[in-house]
Amino acid sequence: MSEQGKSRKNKERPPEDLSSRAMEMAGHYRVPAQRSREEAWAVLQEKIRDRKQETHPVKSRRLPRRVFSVAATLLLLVAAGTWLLFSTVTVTTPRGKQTSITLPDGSRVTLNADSRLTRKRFFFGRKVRFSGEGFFRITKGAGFRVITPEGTVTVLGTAFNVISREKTLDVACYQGRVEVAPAKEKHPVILKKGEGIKIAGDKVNNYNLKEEKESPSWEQGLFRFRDTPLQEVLNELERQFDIRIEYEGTDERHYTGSFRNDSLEKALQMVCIPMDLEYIIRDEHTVILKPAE
Amino acid sequence: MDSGSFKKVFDKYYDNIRNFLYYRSGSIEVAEDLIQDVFLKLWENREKIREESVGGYLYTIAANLIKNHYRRNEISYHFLNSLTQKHNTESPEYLLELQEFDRHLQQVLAKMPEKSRDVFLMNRIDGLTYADIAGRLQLSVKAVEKRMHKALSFLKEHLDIKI
Repeated sequence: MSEQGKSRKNKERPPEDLSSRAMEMAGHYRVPAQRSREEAWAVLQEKIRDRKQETHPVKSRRLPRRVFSVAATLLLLVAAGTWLLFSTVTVTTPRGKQTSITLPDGSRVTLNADSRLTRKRFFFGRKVRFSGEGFFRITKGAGFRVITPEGTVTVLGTAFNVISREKTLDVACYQGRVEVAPAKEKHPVILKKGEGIKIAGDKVNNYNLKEEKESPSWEQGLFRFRDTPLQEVLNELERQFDIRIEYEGTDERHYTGSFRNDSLEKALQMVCIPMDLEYIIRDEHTVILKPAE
Repeated sequence: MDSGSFKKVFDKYYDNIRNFLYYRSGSIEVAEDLIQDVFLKLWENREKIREESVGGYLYTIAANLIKNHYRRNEISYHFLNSLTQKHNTESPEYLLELQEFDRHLQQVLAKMPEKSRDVFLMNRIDGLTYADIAGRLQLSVKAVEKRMHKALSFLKEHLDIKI
């Protein structure tokens, strides 16, 4: 035993305590994983698919005389191959607009205002990157993945709504089953028809859809809120009408109600009247809200 | 083993094998990268492997891959520790002491010989029993106990020294 081991600097405890203390502390350790098991599974599936397409390697033979032109051709092929592999297609909706897109596998997505969806141009792999709000109608088949900054949503032939905004992930399942894998957690959650989950940092809320609906109402231009923080309602107003709202007041209150996105005046009335607010439309893109006198 | 049970095996062993690769390398990138190769190998040989022995098979592949593909420099750990993240009721001095101990412990673990460290971490972090560990590492339960004792002695000896 080393000499250092024998001295006990500043510790009253006998050595036995240290190793049991170590045992105890190590029990709270977690490996700093960067990838969830479901993401790893998806990556593995792609590799397996790639393997199946791999041809057998050619037996090596002597180099041809014109080595330089071959090298140049190879470089071009690698460049082209890289472009093929990584080239992406992105659809973005600005504020005040909604749009509908069809993906290579027949799945359809409606994008609400201020949203973005990206997919690989040539190797779709049933996987998209997404932020904003969208309603997904996915055709049946092997897992379809929606990757957002806050987590990955995996589904099999179903319909669901995804909101990925401001460090929040909110998924509601309208048909079939959906798996939500939050970026920060170990355990994915499975949603059945009529169930939803909202993840904002450490807060997780499970909720149920109030009525038997086939799809969210925002697709028809109706925006409904139930006990929602006022600021979120104002944010949606800004997105739908492409305006900026200056709100002179406290933000703490909650709003229950709805507005349509066909008329700014009507929408402002729907929000302001129940909340005792006044609105002033200063110009095309600016609205001021303040408490009513 | 068929394709259906392949997913079940993946779900059962993924986290633990990834952890094992992390214990051996100290790098989460290496772990999450190599584990793909581990399961690819399993996929390619799935018809030859029996489900009962798949655990041992996976750990063997993992250990081999790490040995061959990863040049071991000095490793260092960055385990997440839920104890040091609770900053509510404890006094700041106590929390500081916990963090010191945590840092020290992770350093000592990085120096511990692999054989005993594997067993220690598989027991404490993965929550595996000695019987589980014995099956996965292809050892006798007695051998696992011995390695655990060695791990504890190593900890006693090295934790007592203040750096």
